Amino acid sequence: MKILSEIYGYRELLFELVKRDLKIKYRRSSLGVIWSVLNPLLFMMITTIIFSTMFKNQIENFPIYFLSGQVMYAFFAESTGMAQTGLIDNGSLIKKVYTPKYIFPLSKICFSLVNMSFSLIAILIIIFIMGYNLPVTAALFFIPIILIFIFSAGVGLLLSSLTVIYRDILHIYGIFLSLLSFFSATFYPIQIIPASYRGLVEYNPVYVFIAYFRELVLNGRLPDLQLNIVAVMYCLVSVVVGYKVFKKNENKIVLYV
Amino acid sequence: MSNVAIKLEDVTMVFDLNKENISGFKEYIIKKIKRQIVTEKFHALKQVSLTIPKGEVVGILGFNGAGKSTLLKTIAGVLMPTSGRVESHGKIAPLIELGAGFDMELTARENIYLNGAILGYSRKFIEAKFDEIVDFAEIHEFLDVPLKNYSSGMVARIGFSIATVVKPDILIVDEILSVGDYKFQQKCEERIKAMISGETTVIMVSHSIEQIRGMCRKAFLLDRGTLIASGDVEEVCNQYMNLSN
Repeated sequence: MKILSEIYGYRELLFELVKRDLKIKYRRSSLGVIWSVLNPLLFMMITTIIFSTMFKNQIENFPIYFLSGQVMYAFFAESTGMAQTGLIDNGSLIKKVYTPKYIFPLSKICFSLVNMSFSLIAILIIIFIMGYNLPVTAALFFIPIILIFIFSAGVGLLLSSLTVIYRDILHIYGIFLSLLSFFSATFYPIQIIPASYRGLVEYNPVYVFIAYFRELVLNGRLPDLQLNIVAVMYCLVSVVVGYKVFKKNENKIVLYV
Repeated sequence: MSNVAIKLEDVTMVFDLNKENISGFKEYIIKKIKRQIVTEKFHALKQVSLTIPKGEVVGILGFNGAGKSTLLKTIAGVLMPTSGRVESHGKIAPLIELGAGFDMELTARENIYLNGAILGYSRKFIEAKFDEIVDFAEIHEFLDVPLKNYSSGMVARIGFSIATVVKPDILIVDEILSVGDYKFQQKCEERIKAMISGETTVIMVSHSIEQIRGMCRKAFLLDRGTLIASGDVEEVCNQYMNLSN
């Protein structure tokens, strides 16, 4: 709990770091922040058109099915990927001024959250164009997002501290992420996976959060108890392990960045 | 509380030199099998103990590689000593490198807010002090120019200006007064002197003996990680000169 109040104390720094990343991302582009919505919108349109013909008959409302999976996976991949280099990128700063080091990976996770919210706007636009009626439960969409945010924060802490020391992880994780995208059932129905392998997808944390999101937005149901427990457990394990590993390596980080 | 600003007890800082060469599992495993991992230890600081009372202005002397910067970094809390204890009372303003944490893509205005946040000032505070910071750094016309187009001297000015906008309890100055033109150097010295009279503890590293003599009352002399002299600034400076010969 102490750590939470400490993070709260550094909220202004966190805010400034996120703002920095956003500013740099859109500097010198004439459309600026509009790209944040336009980019996912165009990407989603293209991929939706391509995949729609593949699984049209098996999945109802395929674009929503695909986009809800895609936006959750993309958040996890982007946030943890950026958090991973968060310490290395701020190396010169870490060596010269004392700041709690977890702020840097954490700021990347927050930055991705902002990006994700732009993607959600894009999805809303698509939903509007398609004339799809959102169920009432869709109003709870923020719960799986909070869950995957916590989960990613834990993974980000773990990765960032280990990557500083073992740079190989940087390359391994890139491959791991593309593998993960195929095991997250973003663009295919989970039923096409043979039953004996289905567990690989079903217990994939990212898929759990995607399933949670789809239950609310697509199926109009509240996720059952089991899904809730699994999702919360993943968050807890991720944050506790990530935090412990980070703390253990914290004092070594400055020697390697 | 006592009137001690900084207290170091038996501070030892050891770096593993081999760490620099191995940056991956594969390399590590291969070298481990080949038994090529020779842990060469480098003692940057060897059992350094010192006490700096509040309001004192001290200089740290020593050749390149004597451990001066390492000492300042342990005091600033950037480095954790391998063994020993570091105690400091009060808010520290570390001027270890001016403009650490500046983002060259951002403008001066944006960097002032970012750097302020890094140093732990609130946005409100920076807003209130904004004009003062800009006035001191003399960068009015260039406020909205990305920092990458600035000269290094101008970047240093902003860094100094932000870091010293509050009166810290402890000011750590590492070889930074050599940047900037003559006029600005004087301005910085004046500001530091104003802080000194306002009870700020100052620890400075400089290769300019003149500067140390002019500003400090006490000095410490480091030689290859060991504290070999401390006391009155004249005596220590003389010892440093003799060491050179």
